Amino acid sequence: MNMSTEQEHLESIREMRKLMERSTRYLSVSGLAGVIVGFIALGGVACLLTIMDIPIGRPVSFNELAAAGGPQASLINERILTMAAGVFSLSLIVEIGLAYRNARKLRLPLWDASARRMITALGIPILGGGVYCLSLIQAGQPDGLAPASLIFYGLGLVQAGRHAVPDVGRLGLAVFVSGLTASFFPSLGVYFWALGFGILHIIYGITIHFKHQR
Amino acid sequence: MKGFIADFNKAFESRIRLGIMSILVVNDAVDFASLKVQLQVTDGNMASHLSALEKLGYVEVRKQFIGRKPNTSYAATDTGRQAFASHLDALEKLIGRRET
Repeated sequence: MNMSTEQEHLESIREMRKLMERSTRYLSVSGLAGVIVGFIALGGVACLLTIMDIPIGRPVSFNELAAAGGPQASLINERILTMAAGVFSLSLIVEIGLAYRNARKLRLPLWDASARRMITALGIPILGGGVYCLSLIQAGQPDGLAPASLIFYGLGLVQAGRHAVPDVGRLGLAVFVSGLTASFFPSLGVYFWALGFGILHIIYGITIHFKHQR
Repeated sequence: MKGFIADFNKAFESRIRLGIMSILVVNDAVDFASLKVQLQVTDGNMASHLSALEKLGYVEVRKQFIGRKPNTSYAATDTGRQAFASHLDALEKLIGRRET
């Protein structure tokens, strides 16, 4: 038994590890996309506050935002909805686009069994959360938007993390906790949104980028 | 020393076969195309290693239709899992012994 055979064994063990991970976890998640998505969310919140003439930093609940329009309250809700929908779809485009780039770099398919598992795990809570948020608006309870969206999305990420790089799960946990905290501070709803969808994504994106993609 | 080498499974001397088993033990069933992409080998190469593993009873073939397309997927059998696990144990012992 000489050194080179031992090197070979070690090498083949390393290769097996890599294959086991690659075949069960979706590794093309992009760190850069996380950072961009975070800034999109911060931009969305800043836009909303500017449109409503609220100085950034002043505590304001979603109830106040919705009521700010007086009799035209439904119009304001539409603004919140438009902002959320805009942030969501822009983020989706960025995530898919950069995941595609990563997949090509890693020479893995963009869409495979692990991608399907990850998207299913994330998609169900997101859909559920979306419907629930609409019901909150319908019921005239906009204060619930920040905690509900963060909690559902956070739980979705926790599930998705089991089928992707583990950092996704850690982000999910952080988002989930920020959602729970937000439910006790309704007057800071908008800022918890900025924290959960913005700042946490930026931190996570930077971590992933340096850890897995350099 | 000889004892450890005796535990080595000849069937796993090929890297591609080790790769196939690695993927199959952590997944329920994997189709031919996905295996090929993960291991980056040619069709013929892949097929010959798979049929060798199948003959040994380490891998089972599942043929089914997805819509109208035939789809062949592969899964590790219990025998295959055991063989793979004891091969890994042998590797581990060997390396552990060298390190201490």
